[in-house]
Amino acid sequence: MVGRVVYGCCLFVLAAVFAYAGFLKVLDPAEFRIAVESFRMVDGFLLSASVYGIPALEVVLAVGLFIPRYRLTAAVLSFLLMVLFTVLILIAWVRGIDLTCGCFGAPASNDTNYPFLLGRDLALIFVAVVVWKGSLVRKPNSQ
Amino acid sequence: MSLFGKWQQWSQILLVTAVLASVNAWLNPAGLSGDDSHRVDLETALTWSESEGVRWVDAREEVEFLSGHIPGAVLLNENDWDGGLDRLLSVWDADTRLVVYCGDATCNASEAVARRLQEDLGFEEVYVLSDGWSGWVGSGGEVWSGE
Repeated sequence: MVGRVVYGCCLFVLAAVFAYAGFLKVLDPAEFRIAVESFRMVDGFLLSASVYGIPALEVVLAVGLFIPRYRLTAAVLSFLLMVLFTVLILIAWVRGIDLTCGCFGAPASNDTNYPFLLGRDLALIFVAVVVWKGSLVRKPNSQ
Repeated sequence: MSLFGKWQQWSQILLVTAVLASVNAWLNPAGLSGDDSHRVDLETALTWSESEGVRWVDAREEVEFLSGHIPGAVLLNENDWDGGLDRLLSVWDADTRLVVYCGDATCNASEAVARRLQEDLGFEEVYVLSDGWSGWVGSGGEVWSGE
């Protein structure tokens, strides 16, 4: 019973975070482009692909997490996406870049709080793992 | 069902993502190309400063501003937007260009402040100093400290 509640909460939190973050970036790609540029890791086609692809993937994953047939795959992709975000922030921190996270659209402040960003991403990785593990147990045909 | 789901579902999710991204790029192409026309190098900014004057806007942290800034610069950053905007408006002249700077060429705060001044408040002549504060110091520019 407790496991189902935890799983349900994690599922909702993960989907809500991706939906919120994705929609903000879908609505304002120019702002998100500034954020992606601040990481100074991609350029040209890869930059444009990231500007449009990442928000689209976040929205699709948010929807996919609520469709039993796609839940496991969406959970795995959510986990991988969060790991990617975490690695990118770690690299930026090591390189000493003053980045605009862009995680939720426009920056709230201009000082990069790396421990907070990493802590938040690690928490979401944990949530994604819970959903992934829970989705393995709860197969679509048993729901 | 495998540990990672079925490959068909992976391909379907990625296909829908690609379609959604393409549609968004078609409907809202503002993110396809960066606009560098508002970036200005120090030499050009100094030419403006000598001929018509510019209003320097410091987008760094307050503690950095207090330890040293371009003479006459106004502190304006996301941390105290309203206070900084009041300071800017109290000295703003419609005929003077605004040149926003932050720490160096890799920082992003100046872009965010310049964009907000242009899009939210309608300022037209807003530019970003490419090399930022480090470029100013490196060129031997005068430095003021304190308020």
